[in-house]
Parts: sequence; C-alpha cells; structure tokens
Amino acid sequence: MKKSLENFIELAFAYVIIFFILREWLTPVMQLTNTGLSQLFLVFIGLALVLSLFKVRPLLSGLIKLGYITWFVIFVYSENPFFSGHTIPFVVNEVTWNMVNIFSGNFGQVSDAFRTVLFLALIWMLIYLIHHWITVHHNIFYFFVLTVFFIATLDTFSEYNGKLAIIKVIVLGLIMTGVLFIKRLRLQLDAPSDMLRKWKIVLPMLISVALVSMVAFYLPKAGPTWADPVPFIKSVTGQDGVGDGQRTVGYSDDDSRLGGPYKGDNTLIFTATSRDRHYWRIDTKDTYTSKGWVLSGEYMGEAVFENDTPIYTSLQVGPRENERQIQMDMAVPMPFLIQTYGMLSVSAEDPTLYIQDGQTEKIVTKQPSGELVTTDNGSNKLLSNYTITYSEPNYSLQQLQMSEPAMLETLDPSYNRFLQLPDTLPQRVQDLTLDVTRDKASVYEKIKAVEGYFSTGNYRYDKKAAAIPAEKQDYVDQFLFDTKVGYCDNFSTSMVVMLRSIGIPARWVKGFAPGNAGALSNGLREYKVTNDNAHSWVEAYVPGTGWIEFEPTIGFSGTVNIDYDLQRNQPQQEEVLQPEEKPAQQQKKEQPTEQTANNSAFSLDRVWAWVKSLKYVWFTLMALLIIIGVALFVQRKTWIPKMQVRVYRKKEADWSSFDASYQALTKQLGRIGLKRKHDETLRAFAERVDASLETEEMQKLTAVYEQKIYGKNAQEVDFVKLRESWEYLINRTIG
Amino acid sequence: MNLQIQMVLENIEKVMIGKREVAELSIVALLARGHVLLEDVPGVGKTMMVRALAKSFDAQFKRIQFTPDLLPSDVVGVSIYNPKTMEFEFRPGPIMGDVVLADEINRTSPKTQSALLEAMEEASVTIDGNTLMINQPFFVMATQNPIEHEGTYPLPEAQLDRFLLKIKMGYPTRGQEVEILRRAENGKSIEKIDAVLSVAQLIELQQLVQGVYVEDSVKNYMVELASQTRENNYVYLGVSPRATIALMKASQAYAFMKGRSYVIPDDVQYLAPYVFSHRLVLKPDARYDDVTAEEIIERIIAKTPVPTKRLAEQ
Repeated sequence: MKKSLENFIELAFAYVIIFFILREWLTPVMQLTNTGLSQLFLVFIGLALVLSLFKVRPLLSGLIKLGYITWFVIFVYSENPFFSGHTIPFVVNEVTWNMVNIFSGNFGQVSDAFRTVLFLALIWMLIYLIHHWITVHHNIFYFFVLTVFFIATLDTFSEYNGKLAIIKVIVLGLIMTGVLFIKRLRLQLDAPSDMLRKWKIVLPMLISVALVSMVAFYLPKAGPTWADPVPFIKSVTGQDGVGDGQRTVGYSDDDSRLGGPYKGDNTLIFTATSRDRHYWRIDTKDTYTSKGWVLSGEYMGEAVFENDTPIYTSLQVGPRENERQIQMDMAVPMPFLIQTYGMLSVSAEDPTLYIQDGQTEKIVTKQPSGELVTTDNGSNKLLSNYTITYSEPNYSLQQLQMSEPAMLETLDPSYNRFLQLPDTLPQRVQDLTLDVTRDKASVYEKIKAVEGYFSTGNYRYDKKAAAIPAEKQDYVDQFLFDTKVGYCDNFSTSMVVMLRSIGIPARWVKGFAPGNAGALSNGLREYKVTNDNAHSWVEAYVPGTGWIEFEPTIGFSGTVNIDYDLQRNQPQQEEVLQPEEKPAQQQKKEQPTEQTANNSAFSLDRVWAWVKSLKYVWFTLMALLIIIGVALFVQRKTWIPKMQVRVYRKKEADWSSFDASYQALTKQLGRIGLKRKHDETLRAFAERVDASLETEEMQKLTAVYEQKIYGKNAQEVDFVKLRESWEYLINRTIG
Repeated sequence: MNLQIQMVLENIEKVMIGKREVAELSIVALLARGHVLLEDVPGVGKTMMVRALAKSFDAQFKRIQFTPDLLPSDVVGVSIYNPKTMEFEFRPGPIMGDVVLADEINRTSPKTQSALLEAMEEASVTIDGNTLMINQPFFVMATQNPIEHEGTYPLPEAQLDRFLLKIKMGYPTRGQEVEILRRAENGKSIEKIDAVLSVAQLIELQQLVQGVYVEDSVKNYMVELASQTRENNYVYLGVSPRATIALMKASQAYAFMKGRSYVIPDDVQYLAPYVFSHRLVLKPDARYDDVTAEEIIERIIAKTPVPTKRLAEQ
C-alpha cells in the first residue's frame, strides 16, 4: 500500500513537470496563431493528465475528454449556451460541413471549430504518448529534446521569443530526466526504495540542476561568430519577405533593415543605349540606424524641371562640349528618373515634370497639370523611354589631392546629416578606419584607402551568405569584424559609416550597376539592366571638389574619370589609381551566373564556383554523414554482432574461424562493458561473463580456446556446436 | 579433476573438515615431489592432515617433534654398536619414512634443521660415511610456529627455499568447528579412513605430472612474475630460479590434479603466492607499511598481463 502511494506521488510529480513543459509548447502556438483561450487548452491538458494519473478506465476517460472537447467547441464557437436546444443542430451542422469538405478535398475550408477539435485530439495523443514514456519506458529524453528543438525553431524563425521558455524547459526537463533515470536505476538494481535514500539521490540532483542552470544563465554568452544560416534557410524554403530583416529582390524603397541573402531575379528593367558605361543612380539616403538606412526626414525643398531644362544636382558635370546622349527604354516603367553621373537634362516625348527631392535627390516624374505639382500630389507618370543628356565630369587628381583634412572642419552645417552615426556604433569601427587611413594625407586619399580596404583579402563578396544583424548587433560592425561576407549593401554601408566615423561626409546611393553590355554598333552599346543589377554605392564629399562616387564593393568598379594630371615623379600614386575601364573583366565579375549560362566552354573555375555554390548541400551532406556515423557508432553494439553472426555463418566451422569469432566476441563483450582486465585469465573472464549474462556458453567456448592456446595437441572439437554457443552468446549481448 | 586424486581428496575430507584447499595443495606438493611448510599455531589439524594423506596412500607415516635439544642423529638415525655382531648397526631415524611430519621445525637448532633440510633436498642421508637413499615417495610436511613466537630459530632463506609450498592452515569456521566436535564425540576418526591408492600408484602419478605441457607463453608468464619479485621496491631478495622451477612443477601438478594435460595461467596465478611468499626477503619498509609477501605477490599478479596467445603468435 505504501509502495503504491509512493509510486503515485512520483507519477504525480512527473505529471506536474510534464504539464509545465506542455504549457511551453502551447504558449508559442497560441501566440503565433493568434488563438485566444489558452487557459481552456491548459485545462484540457491538465484534465487529460489527471485522468491518466488516476488510471481512469479508458472508456470513461475518453468520454470525459470527448465531453470536454464538445463543451469547448460549443462554448467557443456556438452563440448559444451548451444546454440550449441549438447545441445538437450546431454539432450536426459542423460535422456535415467539415465532412463534406474533407471528402471533397477542400481541406482549407474546414471550420475553426473542427481545427480546434483536431488540435485537442493531437494534445490527447501527445499525452497518451507521454504517459507511455513515463510509465513504461521511464524515459522522457526524446520528448525533452523535441521540446527544446521545437522552441528553438520557433524562436529562430518566428517572432516568438523563446529565451525564457528554453530555460524553463531545460530546467524542468533535466529534473524530469534525472528523476526518471533514478527510477530506472532502481528498477534495474531492484533496490529498496526507502524515502530517505531516495532523497539522498534526488536532492543532489536538484541542487546540481539548479546550479547548472544558474551558472548557464549568468555566464556571458558570445554572439554567433559564423554567418547566420537562418536567412539562407528562409530563402530556400521560400519564406523570403515574411517577418523582419528580409531583403526584397531588386530595387526597393525600404532599406531600414539590411542583410540577408539576395535572391537572383533577372527581370529586365531597362535598356540603355550609350557610348559610355554608367552607374544608374536613383536616390540617396543619409541616416544610418545601425540596421539599415532611413531618411533624416527633414524637408529640404524640391526642385521642378521640365523636358530639356538643365537639371541641377549636387553632383559635378563635365563641360558642355562633351555632351552625349543616352537612350533609355524602360521595360518596367517607373515613376522616377534613372539618373546618371554628369546628367545635364532629360527629355521625354510627352511634357513631363521632373521633381527632385532635395533630401534624397530622387527625381520623380509627374504628369503636368494646371496646378502646382509636388512629390505628394499630382499623378505619377510612368515614362517608357526618354533621353538623358550628360557630360561626364573629369576630376583633377591634383585638385583632389589638395583636399586637406582641415578643410572638413569648416564645412557648412548642412553637411551634418552626412556625418550622422548611431550612438550604438562600436568604437572599433572608427579605430579601424583611423588605422586604415593613418598615413594618408588628403581627404581624397583617405577615402580611396577606405574604398580599397575591402579588397585587401579579408572580405568576400557573396550574395547568399550575408547575415542579418542580431538585435544588439550593428550591421556594419558585424560585417567588418565578424562575418566579412556580403554584397553591395554591406560594402557601401560600411564605407559610408567608416568615412563618417572620421568626419568625412558621405551618403549611401542606390540604383543600378551598369548592366550587361551588348555589342558595339555605331560607337554605342546597349546596356541591359536587370533586377540583379540593383546596386548600392557611396558618394563622399571631397573638399574643394564636391561629391564623388566611390565603389567599395569587391568585383565592381566605378566609372569615375580621374585626370592623372600629376607629375610623373609620383609613381606610387599611379598604383593606387588604377585605370578603371576594364569592361570585359567587369562584366565577368558582375555577372558570373549569366556568364556561366552563356558560355558552354569548360573551365575549372566555374566548376569550383559551382561546387562552392552548393556549399550548403555539402554542409548538409556532411552533417548527415556525421549524424549517420555517430548513430552507427553509438549503436555499434547492436548492429556489429548481427553482421558478425552472418559473416561467421558463411565461414567453415574450424579453428581459424572459431578463433576469429572468439576474438570478435570478446570485443563485443567489451562494448557492453565486459572487458577482460589484463591480469584476468580467460577462465576467470569467462566465469564473469557467464555470471553477468546468466549463461554457461562463455566457459564452454573458453575451455576450447584455452586448450588450443595453452595445450599441446589440439583435441577433436565440435566447432558447429561451438558456433551455436557463440551465436547464442553474442545475441545475448544485444538485448 | 583427476579421478584418483578425487578419491584421495574425498578420503581426506572424511576426517578433515573444511580444509579442502590445504588438502589439494598438499597433494600438489606430493605430486610435484616437493615438500610443504605449514605455518600455523598448534592444534588446527596439521598432524591429522598429514596422517590422513599418508594413510590414503598406504604410505609409512613418521613424525618428528622438534625441540631445542633435538640432535641431527635423532632425525636421520644413528649407528649403534651391536656387541653380538660386533658391528655398528644403523638404526634409521624418523626421516626414513614415506610421509614425514616435522613438527615445529623452528624450535630446534639450525644444526638439526639443516640435517632435515639436506635430507629433504637430496632425498638421502649420510651417516658415518655411508649414504643412504630415502625411499620414494618422500614427502615432508614441516610445520612452524609463526616467527614472532618466543624460543624459535627462524629458518634461513636457503632452507626455506627447499619447501615447494608454504600453506597456512587457518582456524575452521564456527560451523566447521561444530562439525569437528560432533565427529570428536565418536572417537578417533583417523582409524576410519582406508588407503585408496598404493605407493606405487602415487609414484606413477608423480611421473605423469612431469609430462604436463607448459606452453612457452605460460613459461614466460612465470618468469615474468618471478623477475617482478626481484624488481619490487619492498623486496630485499627476490625469488630464485629454483623458485621459478618450483612454480612450474607445482603448476603442472595442479593442472594434472584438475584433469588437464596443460598448464593455464589460472594455475600459475593460483599457486604463485604459495610458491613465492616464503622465498621473499622483505625490506623493513614492507613491515612499516604493513605489506605482507602475499600482498606483494598479489600486486605483481595484478599488474602482469596474462598471456592469451601462443608465443609464436604474439
């Protein structure tokens, strides 16, 4: 009687813990599916646990649970009270509706009430399983691991924050596993279960669980040092654009959260026919939030231009006599202008208003009307084609190098917004920048040093591997110091932030890279620009010259024309300022995927690139192999003997196969903890094995083996019979 | 178990209660043509054991009680002048028996001790220039009081070496002692046992024992154990090669007794303490650390790997 009471208390204790663990399961589900009434679900869990705790007869317990489910559904989904006449029609109605839908395959059409019933049934099954695990197997480990996995997954891929839940589950799970382990141990040893002795084991276990969790909780935890794999997994599973921190494909307006992989999309945006290669500028952003770019929000005025009227931007233009035209054919018409460096004017076929925002320098296109048109009113005009007149500016290197750092101190306060930085920016960003620019005299050289810093070998361009910064992480800091892998946004944002950290005004520019150049005809090329070409780069202010664009992203090269008007006695300068026009090479770098598709010639590089592109496949394969290896290793004491039985069955029954099988047997015995000590004789070992496995076969085998080893002449032995003994024994070791 | 020896053992067990191991070891010594040193206090059944053994083989049993004033001639015999024949006539001493119990051997003077021990080793005695062979089987079971007792002459190492085994008798358990009392009520039980083997059969068995096979790896194992005693920190003087031979012979006899035609390491492990312990001369450190010779041998066994392959295969 006392014993059964004790068992009952133990079971009750286990169920209380299970209840709390299940509550951790329920909470995120409720939270994520916006289901209310989680108390009612908890009551159901409690009810089911209590019923199985008191060993209520299955029929009765089933009826009670069914009753509760019915009441639950009626209470929640029916407008009428339970004991009104409407209950039965409601139930009948629900059942027919859902059955019809299920049998006709419209699974999406089933009612909420039915889903709730299914969910409750799931809980029911789960509790039955748990009951089985606890009372029969005395092992809850798998459930425990699954719970942790479940919460970790939800924590990683959804808004649900499982930090506290994980701790709770770990503590509860450890206690539970410990208690069950003691129970298993006791059953195995058949030891008397007196209360005092039990507490002697349980108490230290509880204390160590408490200690471990406390230490783990308060220990400082290092952030992840590897690239965050989550964005990749999300992109693979097609979850792009769900939740936060995703990068949408191509050009987009929202840059407040940068990071994450860049998914390929080669939709053609426009075709530009031009003599020169251009960076296609759309707008700029000035405020860095440590996660991405936003606007400072100040109204900086607007400028309105018309067809063929000179357009003024903050950028330099070349001399009028070098004026050229670009023909823009928009495949996807946009309500704003694709600008280029050195732009003088634009002309479209129809009268159009070009309204430039003073803050972003974005130029929207509007339908002219009688009234005053601003960015906020008037109807947008989508231009299909237009012509840009431009003259590329030439910058004098001599003049650029005259930009003294001291000149920055006398800048107009309107430049302050280009020096903005978040307070949370780690100091090491500035330290790094100072380090990189230390021995550069002019502002221009400093900027070039920062621009070139990324190609020093530490950084890698990869559209897929870019990480999303964690809550307390800085986007730039993460890229510069931790991940060192990313695409244009990482490089350009980092460069802007670095420049600002040493007081050089800089802004972040968005638009498109030059695109895919076609064949030359009449001195003109067709540049096809796709969504893949969406790009970001940097404009920095060089005192004495003005805003100049810079290209920090590895694999891209800018279009700035520098006049090498320096004297020839400064060769080291020339090394810094490489000639920038290398169209063929550029395209290769910019469009690696396209190239692969177009060019069918074999190349090792491409094979390697392909292999590298399958990196995650390799990782997965490796992980799988490792898991399989570990599983095989852990389970080796069960599968190796089975294999050996087969192997030795095929062999002829003689001394040599007996010898080998005997050795195999001793190894297998070692695996299950029966290892011969080096001073132990074979006979003593055999006795120990037989005592432990409750057989006599080992002594039989050993007697023969011993005689063969220590004896003078071999006697006649029935090896077939010995093999039977051996098989019996080795099977005995498995289970 | 060899059937003949089984019979002897069962015979002995009729009078000796709970002393199976001592009986077995005594037979091992007998089969290996060695002698036994029994170390124990008086009254635990040493004499009974030897007499039962002697009787089982129908062998002549002699007993010498050693006292401080015992002379060598009292052991080996003396020539007495016979006035009738006018010749010296040799009167054999008690040593000339088949099974001899030399009781309290360490109570006598070294001179007398050496007379006994010489006879044991050579299986002959020399008196007045005449060498007399002692008949086989010749088996001496000497007893000695624990060395700490007063009035004892400890046996020198060289002489201890002549005993194949040193056995401790030990007190019987309570149950066994009750059984002893029960039997004592019915008068002298030694009279009840009969000879189960003849002396000739015993000698035949002794010859068979010599044919028991000792694999080279097992020989190596014995040598390894022996040499370990010479390297042990507690040991002043390790065992001699004679001891290694003794171990092999004893192992052969034991294997034979167990019905095997070959020696296994188990035999060696079992016998090593009995063969080696009285041959070790321990350093004073051992005594300070309260380590006995048996413990040292146990440790040596524990750290020496057992051969599990034929030597050629190793």
